[in-house]
Amino acid sequence: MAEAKRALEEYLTAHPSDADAWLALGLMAIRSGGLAAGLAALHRVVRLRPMAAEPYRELAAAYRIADDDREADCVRTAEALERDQTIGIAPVLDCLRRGATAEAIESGAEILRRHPSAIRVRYELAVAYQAHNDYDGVVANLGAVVTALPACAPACKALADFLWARDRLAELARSFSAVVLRSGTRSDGPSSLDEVERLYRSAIRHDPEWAEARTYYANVLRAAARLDAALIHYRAAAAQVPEDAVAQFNLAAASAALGDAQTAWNAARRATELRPDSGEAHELLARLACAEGQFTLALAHDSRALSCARFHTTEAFL
Amino acid sequence: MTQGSRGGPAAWRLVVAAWGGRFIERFLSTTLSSVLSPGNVPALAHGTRAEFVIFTETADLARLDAHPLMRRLGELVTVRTVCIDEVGGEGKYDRMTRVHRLGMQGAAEADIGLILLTPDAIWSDGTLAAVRRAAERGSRAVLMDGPRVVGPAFLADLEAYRDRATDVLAVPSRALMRLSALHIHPNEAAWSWHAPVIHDAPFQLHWPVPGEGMLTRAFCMHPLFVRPRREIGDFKGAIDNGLVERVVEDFSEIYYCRDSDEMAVVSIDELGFSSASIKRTDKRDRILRVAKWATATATAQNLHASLHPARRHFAEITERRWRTAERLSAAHIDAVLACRQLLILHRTLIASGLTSAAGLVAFALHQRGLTGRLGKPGPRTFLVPAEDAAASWLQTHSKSLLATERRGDLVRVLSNHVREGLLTAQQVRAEMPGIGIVTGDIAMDGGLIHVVDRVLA
Repeated sequence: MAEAKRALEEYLTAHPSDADAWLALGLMAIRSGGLAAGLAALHRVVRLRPMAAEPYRELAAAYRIADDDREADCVRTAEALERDQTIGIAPVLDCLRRGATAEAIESGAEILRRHPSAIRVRYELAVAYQAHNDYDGVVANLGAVVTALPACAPACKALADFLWARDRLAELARSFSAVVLRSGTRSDGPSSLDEVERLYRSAIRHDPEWAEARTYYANVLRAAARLDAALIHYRAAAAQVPEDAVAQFNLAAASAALGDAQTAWNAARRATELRPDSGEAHELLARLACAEGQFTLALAHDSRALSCARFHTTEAFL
Repeated sequence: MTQGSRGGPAAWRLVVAAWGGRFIERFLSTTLSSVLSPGNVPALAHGTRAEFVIFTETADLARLDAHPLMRRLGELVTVRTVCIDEVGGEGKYDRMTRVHRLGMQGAAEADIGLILLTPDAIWSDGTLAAVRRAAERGSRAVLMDGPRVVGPAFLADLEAYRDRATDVLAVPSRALMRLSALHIHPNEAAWSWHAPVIHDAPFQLHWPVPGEGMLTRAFCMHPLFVRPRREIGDFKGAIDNGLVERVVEDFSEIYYCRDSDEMAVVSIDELGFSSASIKRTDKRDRILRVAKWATATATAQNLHASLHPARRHFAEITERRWRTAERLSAAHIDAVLACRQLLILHRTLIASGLTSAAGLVAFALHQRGLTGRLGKPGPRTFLVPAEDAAASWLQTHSKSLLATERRGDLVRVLSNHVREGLLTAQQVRAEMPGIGIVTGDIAMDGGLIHVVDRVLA
């Protein structure tokens, strides 16, 4: 068993997108008593195949062993997807494979007329609407998926991402219009902040090892000036993907803002090791060096920051 | 046979490329509807030969031909549809460039004035008449641009200007500008100098004039009109970045639209998923980021364009307020261009092994507020301390340079090393006999560098 597990892990290092292999690894780990590792592997399966019932069934079984209340959400999700299997969505998938997104939308709408609760169609429609830059289409369909599949972390995260981006963009445009038109309607738009937070929390609850979900949630918290809470998730993300320069930089920037210069220095150094063209990380290192009185080092990092191509930034508006 | 208008080209060719159901629909309901207004194609083509060339795919021909506006267009100009099924390209933008090249063929020899239209824009009534006037005054290119808006709500409001009988959209420029302010695209809003964010590609920058409109300075603008003297078949890239240099002999032949009352356009887009291109920023960082973008991307013509402010307004102009906005925007652009010069200096210093001096420039830009004190851009001479002299000076002065209460000291020392204008090593020796020049006359874009034997503290 141990040898087979090692072989699978080795295989997955080279083929991280193989859902079957993650599923096999997860089941193997759970059977050999490694519940945490097994759950982490099953979460990877869900990220790769969010619309398959099987991983939710296996997750439900694992949570039952651990007496974890996430079992109920997984059972509900698996049952919903099993019911959904009777609805044929091949025409929509075929259109999407051909890149015919307008046809996919038409085809999906036709299926929804006959089966209003078809979940996988909703999910594929969200993909098609994304190709059409149609936020409303994406949000409406993902919203239906999240309601039907409470354990589907990818859907929760995706919906939170879109709602957050849409709100921020709308706020930017509204603010500009208010200034130019002098209409005084600077911030009268709807805000989905509570919903965004709820969705990210749900995504992290059902997939705690997902560094990207934690990072995006932390970005939202940071934007709301809740830096202490953001740091918890930035730190977790950096631990989950230690080879990711963005995760290291985020940890560094949040730590620096909260006065933890040592963590900030270590993480920013790591970020520049992983990605030497990270201008922001070099600039942060320069500031930290300056604060420590290390002038020569500050100059070197400032110079590197200035040489970096124009926008190797991790300070995304998101 | 009709003759070309006096001073203008012998004939006009309007070029547009549109393919696929969504774009054809958009082209018919926006671009075509608006260029058929009295002050556009009818005024442009009056008494002059003109053709309208539509590049499209075979699958879209029937839909185009069947539309009533195409018949109306055919009454005014010669209409030609060209199938581009065989035109390849790596992606839609490359394909568009290839199509534009086709559209420009033969224009120089026949002295054809090219009007390059986009398929998803609304042109204010009178825009093409103004282009004709500019061409008749001798301009070889007319550059203009307009704000981008978010589609559906804007299009719904626009219907108020559609003539139900003819389907033509005759939109007055001020109405168009007001609608654009109401439905502005977030990316456009991110180009506002006062926004707390910045877009990765700051093609344009806006300074709002509350209650009246916004002043815009653009690096990249749409070449609505070009009149080439020679064939430009090997033109590469998008038409708003590199084409115009191929057309004009000097920049004085370019007409930059200064006022939306004269010409106005609004391009229509979806909200999009582009928020990752928008980053948080502040004033200092904005100057540096725009300068970095300009250093890496902007052509000489782009830099020239940024010196020409355009007033986009929906109300009567209060001259005093717009002049203030122009002065403010000029100061900001000056800072950007001066900062760009320092970035080029920094790059040259690194390449020449003068790392200590390069570090000081970077430190001053990042941490000592140099971006806010750069003055006007222009040719400059930089006296750069040799590496050993700079390193030894840094050793003895690092403490005082780090002291935030003496943050002005470094900027003062750096300014001792700059002379306005281009001075050769010989001239510097004559003017400053006490200074030893180690290496003289190192050329850089917009400046000259001399390596000197000391720090001029």
